[in-house]
Amino acid sequence: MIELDRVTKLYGTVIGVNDISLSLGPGAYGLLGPNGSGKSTLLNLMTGQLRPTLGSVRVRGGDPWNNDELYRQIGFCPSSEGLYANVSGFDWVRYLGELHGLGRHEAASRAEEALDLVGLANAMHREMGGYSRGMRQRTKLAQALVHDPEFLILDEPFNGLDPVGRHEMTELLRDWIREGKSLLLASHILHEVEVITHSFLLICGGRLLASGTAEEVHTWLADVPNEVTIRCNRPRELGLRLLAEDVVESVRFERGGGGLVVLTRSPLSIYERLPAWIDGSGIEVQEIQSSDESLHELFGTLMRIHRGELM
Amino acid sequence: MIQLARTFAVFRFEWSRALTVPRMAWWLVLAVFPPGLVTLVRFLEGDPPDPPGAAAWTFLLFVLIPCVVCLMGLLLWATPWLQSELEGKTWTYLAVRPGGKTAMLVGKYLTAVSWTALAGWMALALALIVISPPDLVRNAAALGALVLLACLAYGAVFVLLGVIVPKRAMVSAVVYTLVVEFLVGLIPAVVNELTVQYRLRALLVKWMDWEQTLLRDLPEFFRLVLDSGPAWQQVLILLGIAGGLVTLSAVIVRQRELTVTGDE
Repeated sequence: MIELDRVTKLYGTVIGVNDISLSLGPGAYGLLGPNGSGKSTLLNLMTGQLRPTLGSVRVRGGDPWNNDELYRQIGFCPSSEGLYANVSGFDWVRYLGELHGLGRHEAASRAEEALDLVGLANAMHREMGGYSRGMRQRTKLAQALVHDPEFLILDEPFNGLDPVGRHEMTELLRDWIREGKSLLLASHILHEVEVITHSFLLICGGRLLASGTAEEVHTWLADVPNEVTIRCNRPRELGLRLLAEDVVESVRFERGGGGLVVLTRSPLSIYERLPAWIDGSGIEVQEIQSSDESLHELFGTLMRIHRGELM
Repeated sequence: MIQLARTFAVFRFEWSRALTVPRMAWWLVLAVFPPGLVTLVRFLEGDPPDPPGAAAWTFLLFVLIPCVVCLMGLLLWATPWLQSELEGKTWTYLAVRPGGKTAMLVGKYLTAVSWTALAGWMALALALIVISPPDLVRNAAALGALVLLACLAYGAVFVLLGVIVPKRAMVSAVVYTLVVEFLVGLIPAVVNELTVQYRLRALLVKWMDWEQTLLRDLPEFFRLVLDSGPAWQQVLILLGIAGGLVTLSAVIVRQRELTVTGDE
């Protein structure tokens, strides 16, 4: 479905995307990366809004640049917030349906369906200038759905949604996947993507750092030194005990004395064996935090591997 | 046919967006400014011993309507067509539609031309009522046609400038108007043949039949800044400028990488 062959995109001397190669079949994928990591550039390349400086991009068998046939098959929801303030959601979605070649009446009925699907049936005839951020996000999704595409590309679709809105959006996207349609979802928040798909592409600094299922990424990281932060009542005593264990590579103490940071290649062993190590010692563990639980730390680790700082 | 339908969809959508109080207020200002000025001149004129002739009024209307109202209207509407979409971050939605970029360009161009031409025609009608010239029909037909041709040609020029320098479209259009149309257009040399003004002036002279009357009594300079070719030739050149520049704009906008700022 998507094939990138050594794709690099330069904005003058700034690298947007750096030497990315990947091949994705039909399915649902999460594109994960911190803000400014190159996600939007990659999506703009896939939707034919940008041309690669080097390499080639193919989506559904064709070059996406000015590819009208491809545009009929994809629905794109960008992360930017641009909407016409004095136009109703219905008028806008119908207009974009008409640009897809739908007749005025068909575009109107499809617009109603799409807006109903995203939960905007009651507000669709109000001007978009009065919409909340969540409503604007839903309207953006409706415009991507209006022409019934086969492949949905969404850039940060959960931005601005309240918890109920997030749940509804998640269910909508799950239904979309269940219908056998393809999805590429870009986000900087891991759990948003994890509840929808287990296939990830991890991007940072314009580079594709890792790809695969969540399990594959975690397994791969298992052989990489991980930092585990443990907060307890007697950190120095716990530190001495941990240094005696072969799975622990080093220990350092946090400033303030409340916690210690353990470097290990096997964090799961630490979690499993820690209760036995402290049993009967009077040490009370208050908090355990693994660095790879947050996406930010995960990308930090991956970037260090990429630079050769970690092996 | 589908591309025509898309273009019409843009045209209709842009017109619906144009029917707001601020934009209609601008339209009204453009439409009443020439008749207002003409009324003022008439009022101040009183009863002079040597009143200006009909040709003077026609020339004043030519300067005020095709040269000022049309230029102003198109500066406001045609020039920022792309800039407004990029800055408003609405471009992305259009760029990923089949034929969306071209439909957007042509649809917005036609909206700008029709919006401005309607203001020009309204201004002309009101001004002619105030002046009541002896050859009313000829004035209305000639100046009315010049309004349309001016809108088509200037609209295409400004649309192209909007594509070439979207971030500085207004500035470049003002500079173009002042330097090319008002300065170069009055230089008695081959270079002025490249301007829209040159063609519009030639058409005014021909359609008002001034060649054998008014022009004979004017200094040689005026002959040098007027083309002597037939009217149909001037019309074809103006339509060629309009069609050629809109086509060139469409080619550029399809080939240019345009993304909204602030995505990342």
